[in-house]
Parts: sequence; C-alpha cells; structure tokens
Amino acid sequence: MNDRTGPGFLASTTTVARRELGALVDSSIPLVSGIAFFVLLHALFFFAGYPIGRIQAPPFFAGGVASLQVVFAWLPLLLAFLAPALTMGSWADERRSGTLDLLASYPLAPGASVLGKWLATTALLAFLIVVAVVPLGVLCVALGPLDIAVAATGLLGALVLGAACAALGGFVSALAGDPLVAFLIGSLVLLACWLGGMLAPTLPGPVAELAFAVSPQAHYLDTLARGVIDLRDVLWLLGAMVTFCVLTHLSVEARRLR
Amino acid sequence: MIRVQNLQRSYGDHVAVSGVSFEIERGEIVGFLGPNGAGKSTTMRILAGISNADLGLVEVAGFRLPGEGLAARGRVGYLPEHTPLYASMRVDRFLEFAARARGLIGRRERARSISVAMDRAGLEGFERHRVQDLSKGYKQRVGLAQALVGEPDVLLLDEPTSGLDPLEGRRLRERIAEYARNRTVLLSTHVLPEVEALCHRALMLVAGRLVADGQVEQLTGRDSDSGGTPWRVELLAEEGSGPGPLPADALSGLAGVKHAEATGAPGLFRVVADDSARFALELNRLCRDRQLLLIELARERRSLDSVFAERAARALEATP
Repeated sequence: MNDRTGPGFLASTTTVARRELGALVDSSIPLVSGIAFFVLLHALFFFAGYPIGRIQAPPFFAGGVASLQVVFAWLPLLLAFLAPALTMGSWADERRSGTLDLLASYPLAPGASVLGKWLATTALLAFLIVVAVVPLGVLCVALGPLDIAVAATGLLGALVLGAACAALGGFVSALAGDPLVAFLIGSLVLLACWLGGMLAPTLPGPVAELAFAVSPQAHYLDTLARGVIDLRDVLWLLGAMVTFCVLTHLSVEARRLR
Repeated sequence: MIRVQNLQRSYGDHVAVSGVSFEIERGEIVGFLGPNGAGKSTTMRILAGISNADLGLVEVAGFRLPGEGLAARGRVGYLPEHTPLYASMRVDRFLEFAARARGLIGRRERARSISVAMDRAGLEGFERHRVQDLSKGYKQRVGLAQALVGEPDVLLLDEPTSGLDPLEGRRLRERIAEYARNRTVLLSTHVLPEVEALCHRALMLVAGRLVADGQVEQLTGRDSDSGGTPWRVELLAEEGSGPGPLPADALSGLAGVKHAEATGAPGLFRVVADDSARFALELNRLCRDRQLLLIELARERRSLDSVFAERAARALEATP
C-alpha cells in the first residue's frame, strides 16, 4: 500500500501552474491576443497618443517627450480584453471537456488549483506586458531623458493591475460554462470599470464615487502610472486579487459538490 | 478497501442514489452495472472524492469521505466517464502532470511510476504523441495510464471500454485484470460480457438502488424465481425397461428438488434444486430404480444480460 497523501500546497500549486502555462503556450490564443496587444499598444503609442479623459497625452512622434504615459494610459483598456482572453479557458474549458473531474480526483491541496491557474495566467500576462512595454522604454531612454523610476513604477503597477484583472477573469471563467461567454463577460466587466472611471465626473454623487472607486483610474492611472506609490492602491489591487481567487475557489467547489 | 453504508445523494428533487450499501475487499474486481441514470457515475464520483454524499458512510482505502478526502484521493486512481483528458498535451507530459499531482515529487520515483503506468496501459512508443492525435483506443489507454500512475490501491473505472472495438476492449480488460491482482477495482460498464469475463462480483444499481450484489457465478447460476440452482437433465429409458416416458412429477418428488418440468423434448427436463448434492443422489437412485440412463446432467447458466434485464425490470416495477 502506498503511503502518499498528495503533494503539499506549494508543490500542488506549481504542478497546476506548470500544466496551465503549458496549455496556454500550446494554444494559439495567447499568441494571437499577444500580437494584437503588442501591435495596438505600439500603434497607439506612436500614432494616436491618449486623446481622451482628464490626462491627455500626444503621440510619441508628435509630442517629442521621452515618456511612457501614453502606454500606461492605454494599458487598463487593453488589459480589459487581453486578460479575459488568457483566462477565459481556465475553468470553462476544464468543465466543458470534463477534465475538472480529473483534476478534482487528484490529491491536490485545497485552493492550489485556483492559485496555480491564476499564477500561470498572471505570469503569461506579465510576460506579454513586459515584452510590449520594455522596448518602448528602451527607445525612450535612447532618444531622451526617460524618468526610469516613474516608468518602472508604472510598469510594476501595470503588472499588479494585470494580476487583478487575471483574478477577475478566472472567477468569470469559473462561473461561465463556455470560454467565449467567459471572455465576453470578463471584458464587459473590465470595460465597465474603465468606463466608470472615465464617466465618473458626469455621474450623480454616490454613483460617481462608486464608479470611480472600482475603476483603474483611481488605483492605477492617477497614481502608479504616474510614478506615485500609494500603499492604499497597492492594497486595493492585492485585495481584489485575493477576493477573486477566493470567490473562484468557492465557485469551483460549489459546482463540484453540487 | 471500499465500504459504503446507506449512501444517499440527490440533485434537487431527483434522488440519484438511495440506501446503497456494499463492501469491496482488496484483490476483488467488481463490476458496477446499471442502466443510464441508475446512479453509477454519481456513486463513482463520491468514491473518488469529487462529490459528497448527502447521507451515509463512505470509506475508501481506510479513509472516511469527505473528511479524509485528500488522503483517500492519494490512494485512488480514477478514470471518469467519457475519459476526459488534456487533449493538447503530450502523453508523457500529461502523465508527468498526473504523477506530480499524485505527490510523486522525486524525479526518479516519478519516472519509474510513469514508465510502469505506460507499460501497463500499453503506451510504449507513444510518449511524445499529443493526446488529441491518438485513436480512441489509445486515448482510453492514456486515461487508464493516468489512473495507474502512483500505483493506487483502489482503481475506479467509469466505463473504460465504452466505444472501443472488441479487440481493443479485450486488451484493456487484460491490462486491468493484470493490475488488479493485489488491488481493488470497481468497474462501471454497460458491457455485461465484460463483467462476466473480468469481474469476480457484480453490483447492480437500478433507479439509485442496489438490486443485486453477488458473485457473478452465483448471479448467473441461480433460478430467478426460486433462488435454487437450475439443472438440465436428460434421461433415457433402457430398452424394454418401463411403461413409457418419465413424468416430470417423478423428478419434482425427489428430495432437494423445488421444481421440475418437462421441456417438450423427449426425456429432457429442467429441474430447480435447492440442495444440489441431495438432488444428485436422489436422481442416481431414481435412475437405478427405474432403469434409466442419465444422458446429461448440467447446471444451467443464464447470461448476466438476462439476470440484469430481469432485476432491472423488477426494480423499476417496484419503484413508485
């Protein structure tokens, strides 16, 4: 008789994360959405600038300023599509193909599947953000005096924001029965958050407060993206990650035991 | 190894499993039979620690579920219905994942376990194939291999040969039988000859209730109504020995016999005995006394098919 009780929490998490990352890399979705993200971000940076909202910035070629503000300004909107594209299959695919039962039959530590999947999508998302943003930073450094501290804070903030978006996307995937539905709902929710921040000044009092409070403007664009580290924003984003990961775990368990 | 007492599981108003109790010991291969929707997969999922029972006691490999589910899952290999697999993965990477997920952390231990599982499932040479590129038969083998990784004490296989051609199904059965020598296997299937060929014992579930639990030999060798052992008897009168054909009454009057009837063919009878040894002695005496030749005395076996159909029909009739 074997005497195993299954891998510990860390080993369980890395096991799931490795498999999930492998599955993501095998699929064409990250490649296609990653290329689209890269091209769009670069096109917006060089040719469009950021002509909307309170913080407006000219395109790189027109402005003549070595700054990544345009990049960081567009990131929340682009992440509203990129993050759900990467997370949409996390749970919906498992349920659709029946592998959720297989996964649940292994003696993985409780919560490790959720954490492992979130880590994998977050790692891939971070990779895509870094690959898209760092070359622009290098270009700025080559052409003018880029404020490295501001750029690094903006990039790190984008990674944290991306991780929170991935947590929300994973939760939506756990609720939805189909990856496409998960993508649409995830994107709509994130888009609504972004739009809420944009439209907050035009909304009535309490609604405006709420819309702004859950928007990336409040916790990223007005602070981290501009090089300002406010611990409250970092905690808010970390709280969002933890909350959505816990909700994902509860949702997966509830469906499994139903 | 598996102990289930008064298991109950409902989905809303629908009672999927009710009052099911059975025990399975080490070394037993048990067939789990039942029509679609009988509650087999529900029971299997509960035993695999995936789903919880509403009521009842469930113990697998000495661990009580759901409380000790993690420890129990470490000793169970499970192949779910329809063989769900990570289709885009390579076979070796999939099994590597299964091995890690089962807690095989050491590289050597993992490699050995994967190699043994692949060998047992007949997957040698397919390590680098993607699961989605394999035939259905080989996909089933991958499903079996992932269940075998870590050499679990209990193997739960939910319709493992469904959709396979007879040859492939037979090969898979042989592999399961080979593995099961010192372990416990619960095999859910619709293929009744498979149970006759592979299993020592069968459990029949109909409308969520256990309607039969017994050795396969016993189930197929019993008369459905009386529960006695059915025999086929052919007798021939010796030349010039008697007044004519033997009446069935002469046989039904023998000690140990519950019931006897003529089949229509001359000298051929069907006898149901509740004490077979006594019946044989009495039959011998009858032959001597009446100068009859015993041409054939054979135990009548029913197919598991007919036993299953009959028990299922009875259970469904009795279900309100």
